[in-house]
Amino acid sequence: MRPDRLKLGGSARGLRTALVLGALAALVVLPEVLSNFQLYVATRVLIFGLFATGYNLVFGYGGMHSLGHAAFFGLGAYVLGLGVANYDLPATPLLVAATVAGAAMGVVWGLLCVRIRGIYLLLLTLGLGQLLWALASQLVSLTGGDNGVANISRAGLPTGSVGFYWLCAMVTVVTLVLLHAFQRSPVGMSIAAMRESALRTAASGYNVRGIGATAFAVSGAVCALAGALNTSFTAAVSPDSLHWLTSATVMVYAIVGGAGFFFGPFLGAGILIVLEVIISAKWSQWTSVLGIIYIVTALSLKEGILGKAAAVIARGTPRSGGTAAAAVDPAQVNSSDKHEPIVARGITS
Amino acid sequence: MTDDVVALEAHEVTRRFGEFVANQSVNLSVRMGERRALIGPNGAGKTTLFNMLAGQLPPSSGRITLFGQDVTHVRPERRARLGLARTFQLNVLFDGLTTLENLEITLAAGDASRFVFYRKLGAVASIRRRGMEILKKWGLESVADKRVGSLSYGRQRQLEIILALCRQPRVLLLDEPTAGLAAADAAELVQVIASLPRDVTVVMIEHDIDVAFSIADKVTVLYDGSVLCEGTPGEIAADERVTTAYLGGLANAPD
Repeated sequence: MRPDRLKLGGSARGLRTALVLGALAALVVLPEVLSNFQLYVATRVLIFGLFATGYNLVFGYGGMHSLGHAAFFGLGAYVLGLGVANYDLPATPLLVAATVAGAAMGVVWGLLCVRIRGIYLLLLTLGLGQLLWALASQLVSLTGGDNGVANISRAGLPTGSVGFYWLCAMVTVVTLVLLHAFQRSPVGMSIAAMRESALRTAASGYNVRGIGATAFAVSGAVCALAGALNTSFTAAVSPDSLHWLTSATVMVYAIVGGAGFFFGPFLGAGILIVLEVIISAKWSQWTSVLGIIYIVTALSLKEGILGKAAAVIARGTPRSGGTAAAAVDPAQVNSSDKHEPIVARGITS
Repeated sequence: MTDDVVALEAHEVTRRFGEFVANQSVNLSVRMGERRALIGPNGAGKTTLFNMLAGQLPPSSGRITLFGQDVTHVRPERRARLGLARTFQLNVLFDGLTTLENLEITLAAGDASRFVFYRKLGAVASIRRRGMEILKKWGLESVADKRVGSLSYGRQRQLEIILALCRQPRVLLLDEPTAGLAAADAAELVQVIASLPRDVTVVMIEHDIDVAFSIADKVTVLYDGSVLCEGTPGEIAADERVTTAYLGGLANAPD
């Protein structure tokens, strides 16, 4: 059973509002109740949640399966890291510069990736990402090579752990609000339209090349911003931030949480990061647990945790129009010109 | 019919796929306001010609003009904004989005609304109101919030036509609009097409000869990638070459 859409009845919409308000309240309360280490984990969740949400504009919302988004995260990370370490620039304008750099690289990627889909897009983005990773490893005099750069100061940004948490919380909330509004705008909806059918999108009068470039640019900007924050957060930058494993990690966050939902990737990042911290402290087999999570997700959570939740809610609350959430015949859904079941419904509600 | 203005013209248009020649030196001239039917047996190259007229496929050689402007190398989105709209032989819709969203996205593409990135789609340029009006006119209000992929085939077919019509196109290309529709729905659709304002130019691929002849001012018969003949429905009905082509074509057809 698939949920028809996440355009649920009034009570479910109320539930969603309540959840968002609850999350905001939790953000405010967390610094008061968490230990220093726990707040460190919360900050990491904010940064990677921001990264995953930005990534998902291209992945789940745009239906373009990138395995190279570490390039944007790493680009932002290096812009801030090298700007501070090599050129002694203040961090705040570097956050802006990292965002702009991410957008600019996104335009280039978007134009390169136009009309390429599925496994070939995966390969192309993987290649582009690894190219940057190799560059960062080899330009030793600029980047410090494989060791990267350490002891990067937070000059200009809050230096304490609580202050830095607040910075990340504010940046994340503001970016998510803007991104959510963007996705519902005509430009954002044209990205969803292209996911559904590039053929019809063009025939309707949209420049699909421009849409692809826009999606990658906005996504790249958000991911680069997250990367730059991460450099300040960890006081270090290394080629790991550009490595394809980082791209795979963020893809998994999106899938586990629910790539068809705006908050899915953020939720996925939160759950997996927190689980990793808890489990790896007690048991050395975190990777095995992660493997089991992947298998469970693939077998029984095809639209991620939020997809499952939406299906459960939809079963419980008939829609206001009187039509109970209609089960969509999967054969019908998959019969047209699109390819991926990961691209789930309900994202635009 | 405005006699002097040519709305859509194909000039010596050829399309090859490797060795295979799908269209060979096709000439087609459709006057503004005309209703033109394209008929021909399976594999005659009708849809390939459509894809070249609408811009989905570039011709291997030849020229295509829209209101006198050479659009041979103009991309489909530009042709759409020049007033050309098309439907697809098999439904091509935004299946994962709702009926209303399908309509709103199509409406927004018609003007500068499509560049707005900070306001909700429905809130821009009264798109929500226009969208709901159109759905009401076609009796689709009840499925406004339904995912299009979950609608019946007939509804989807209807939506193909609505999306093509909703921005008042100057040239309308219909690829087998009645295919797969129940007789009553098909008749209703024919009525809609027949009652379109006379400044709209319509080119229609149609397998149902009765439908084609009832709507068309002129009929073009394609056979084996080329134009076999062209004339009024009466002339075409009397043309022996057409009967032969159809019988031959049918004899060769796989089903």
